[in-house]
Amino acid sequence: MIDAIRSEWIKLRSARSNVVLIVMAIVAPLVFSTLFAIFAHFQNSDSREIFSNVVLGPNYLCVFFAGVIGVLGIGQEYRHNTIRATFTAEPKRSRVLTAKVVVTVLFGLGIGLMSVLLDFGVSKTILSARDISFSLTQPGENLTAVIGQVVLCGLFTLAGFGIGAIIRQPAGAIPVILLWPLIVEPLIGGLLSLITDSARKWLPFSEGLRLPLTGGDGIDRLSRLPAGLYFGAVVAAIVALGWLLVERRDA
Amino acid sequence: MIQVRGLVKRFGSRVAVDGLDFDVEPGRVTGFLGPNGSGKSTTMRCMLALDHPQSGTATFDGRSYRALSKPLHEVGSLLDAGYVHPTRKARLHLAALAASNGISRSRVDEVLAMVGLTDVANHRPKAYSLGMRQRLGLAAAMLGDPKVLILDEPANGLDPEGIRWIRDFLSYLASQGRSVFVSSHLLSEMALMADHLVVIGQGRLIEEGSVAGFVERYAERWVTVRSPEVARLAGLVRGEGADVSAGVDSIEVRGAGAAEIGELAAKHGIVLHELSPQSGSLEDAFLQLTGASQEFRTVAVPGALMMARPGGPPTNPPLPPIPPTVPTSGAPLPPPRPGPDSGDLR
Repeated sequence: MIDAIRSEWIKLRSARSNVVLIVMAIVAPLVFSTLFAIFAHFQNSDSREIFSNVVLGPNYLCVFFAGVIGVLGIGQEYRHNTIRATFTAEPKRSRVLTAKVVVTVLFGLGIGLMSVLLDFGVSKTILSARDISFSLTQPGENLTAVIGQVVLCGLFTLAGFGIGAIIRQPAGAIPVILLWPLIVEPLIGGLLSLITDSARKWLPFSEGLRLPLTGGDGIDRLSRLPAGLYFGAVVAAIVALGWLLVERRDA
Repeated sequence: MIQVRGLVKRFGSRVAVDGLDFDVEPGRVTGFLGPNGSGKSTTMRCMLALDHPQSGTATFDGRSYRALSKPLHEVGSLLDAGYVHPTRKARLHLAALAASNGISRSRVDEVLAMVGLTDVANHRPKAYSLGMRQRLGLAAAMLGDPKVLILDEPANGLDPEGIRWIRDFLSYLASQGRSVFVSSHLLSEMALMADHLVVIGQGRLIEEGSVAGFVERYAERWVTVRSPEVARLAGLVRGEGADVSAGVDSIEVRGAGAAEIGELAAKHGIVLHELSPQSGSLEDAFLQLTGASQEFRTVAVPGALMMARPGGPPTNPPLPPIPPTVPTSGAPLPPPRPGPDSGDLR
């Protein structure tokens, strides 16, 4: 298994498209975080609001880039037919998939953590120069939101991986991981709200995206932990379906 | 040793491989021949556990491919030179494969040197020619120094030097006692490279045996005769029941051996300048055997001189008939026997 993980690690960091996405996942939030720190007005804001606007908000970009990286983790293998080389080198497909999941999730968690800490460090420096202070740990809700942000990155990477395993082509899977949470679920939620507000809380990606939120849980929404568990369960189901299909289909 | 038994693979209602049985013995190059769409690549994918066959087995020394714990050490394969990420450097492509089987980085450099790609090892394959990708695929196949090699069209895209290299390379590997199973459309190369043949058509085994035996059984044989009295000799030979097609100063005789023709010429005092038995090529034999199994057939191109005929051997441009002659023996000329390519005397 260690050999399979080493192999997947080399693959992940050696394809140019992955490297570009990793850089984008780090740089894009950093740019917006920096701009907010320089230009936004925070005179009447508390630490929680500042942290939410400067660090957590921009980091949603990192979440979606992580999802795309997850798609490419397996979708690129099918697109370029390197999956055949992969499965001839390791014909036990479950071992390859386990290695991919481990590497993908750790990678998603890693870039999520790195992005949040980097954005915090840069914006803290800039805002300190403006005599505005905020903290990573005060109030405690900020730290909880950071954990939620990092977990969300990991789950989105995993969801991307599952969707990539099901659809097998990045051109089809990337729109799904981007458009489903951003457009399709909000539309479905809008329609459901015409009937009942309580149904909206069962839209998995919408609930998952609330993991890094600070402040109240809102009316008729799941609180942070149940929301995270529910989204995690849906992601697990997506990955399980992708796993089953990869095992059963011809490579 | 590879053993394939009762292999069946269907894609929907289409049967790609239909109960295939054959062996690939160590110590020789086994050629895998078949027309386009005959199921060669599907068979190889099934052998390597990439495709799931509906039934049948492919085993390597008694074990299925999936049962091999570090398969690159036992079976090296090259199915398509395009199975490489275009922006992953060649060295890292090999490093990823090597890592999966616990193979050292130094071995990566060794195989790169073996296939002549050391200087471009840090380039991205998207800048590679097809021949260079083919070499990269061969390097991947050799990573684990395997005792079995499965190669699908390994000479595809190689230049003449590369084709010669792959031929010598595979023969060398077989001489070391490895099992080499290779498909190719370059039948002239296969004739030089392979010791044994597995021929399939429409997913079924058509023939399995030695290359020499295959050509012997299926390739056309004839005798070329050159003589100052070629027209007279043609009449005599035809009188013996053989088919004769005529050239400018020679004839090609089918249905009679060189000894028979020589004796006939001597009996009638005809001087011979050439009397040489000829045999068709592996390509001729292949087309003769698989003609009925061609899934994709060509149509005649108007004006084309050389066309492969589905269902029969390729033909040279028809030889012009030579004028009829009166047999000196006085015996009446028998009616010409129908022959596939005989430009019969009239």
